[in-house]
Amino acid sequence: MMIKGLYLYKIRVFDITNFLNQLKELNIKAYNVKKVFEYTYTFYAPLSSKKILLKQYNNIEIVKSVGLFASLFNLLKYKTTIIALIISCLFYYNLTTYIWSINIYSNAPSLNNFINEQLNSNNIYIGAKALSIDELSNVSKKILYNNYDTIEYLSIEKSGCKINVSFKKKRKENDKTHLKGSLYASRDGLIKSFDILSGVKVVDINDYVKKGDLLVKDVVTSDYNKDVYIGTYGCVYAYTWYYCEIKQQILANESEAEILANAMLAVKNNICSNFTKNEYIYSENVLQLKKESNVMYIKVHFTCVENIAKE
Amino acid sequence: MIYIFKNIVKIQKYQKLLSVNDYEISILLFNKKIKIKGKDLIINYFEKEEINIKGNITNIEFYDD
Repeated sequence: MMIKGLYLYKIRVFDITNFLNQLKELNIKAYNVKKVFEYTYTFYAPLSSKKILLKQYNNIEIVKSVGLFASLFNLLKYKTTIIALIISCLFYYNLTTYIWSINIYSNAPSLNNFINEQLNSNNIYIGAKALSIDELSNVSKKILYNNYDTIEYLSIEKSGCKINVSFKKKRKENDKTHLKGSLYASRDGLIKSFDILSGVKVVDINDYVKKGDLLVKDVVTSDYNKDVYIGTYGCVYAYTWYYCEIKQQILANESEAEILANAMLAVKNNICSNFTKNEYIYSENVLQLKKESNVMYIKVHFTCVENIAKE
Repeated sequence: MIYIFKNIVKIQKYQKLLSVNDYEISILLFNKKIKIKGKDLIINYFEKEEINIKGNITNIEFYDD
């Protein structure tokens, strides 16, 4: 597409040579001079020559315009185009200058209102003039500095006409009064998992430990071979085993299945009586089921998952 | 100065156009007359100091004025 604008002119002249020489004198460029009829010629000339040509020659007429500039020039002749252009500019200015929405992302939605108030007090609200990236960074630092006991991370970013705010609530330090000394195995087991917030693990998952083995140390050895107390806090879960022998009297109106179910339930309740939330019976195996006269003998093996860490 | 390409003749620093039609264009250049003969000749580009002629050019002749 031709970028520079040209008008196509049509002129009726008796002597084209004379006309072209006049154009030369007037310093007007002409392109593609063609004879279309007898004494009628067409040619292209730049937009800037329009006034001179129309003034100098009465028998000249503009047929059409070509090129991007000519199209733009033509468009600008209409009032509606100018109005549309002004509206577009205003719209663009509004879109780029003002804040249209504020999105808050956080790990503590309860603090969203608090952050909103902080943003408002720093002139960041919907409809306010958008701040520059540097200004937003300064506001972010200011809010963080003033509220260091409430929030530990704050980021304010501009994305077009949107403001994206992300923050994290300040985490609380572990209460040292709950920290314990080194943790030892309270019974034999196979380590399944750790849930340790403080302390140094000395065994790994799938390690077999015996009662009394050290599981988690309460000290860290520094580079100068000095032990620094950090305390321990948490649980060590392991597979543990229970073996039960049940001797049950069979009553006249009881079936074998009923006896077995009741006996198992009683044993399970007994085992689980001291279990906490994350402790459970993993599997059970009936090793022997024997009936002698009116007595039933049951041998059962249980595999449990329980916290074996004790101070 | 005259430049000749395939079917284009470009003349710079010309003084005046002497005649223009489909089969012959005459130009005054440094007090010499140049006649460009051919078929379907058109002025491709034209300005104060340069003219560009396109068409089936068969002959270019020089005359003393």
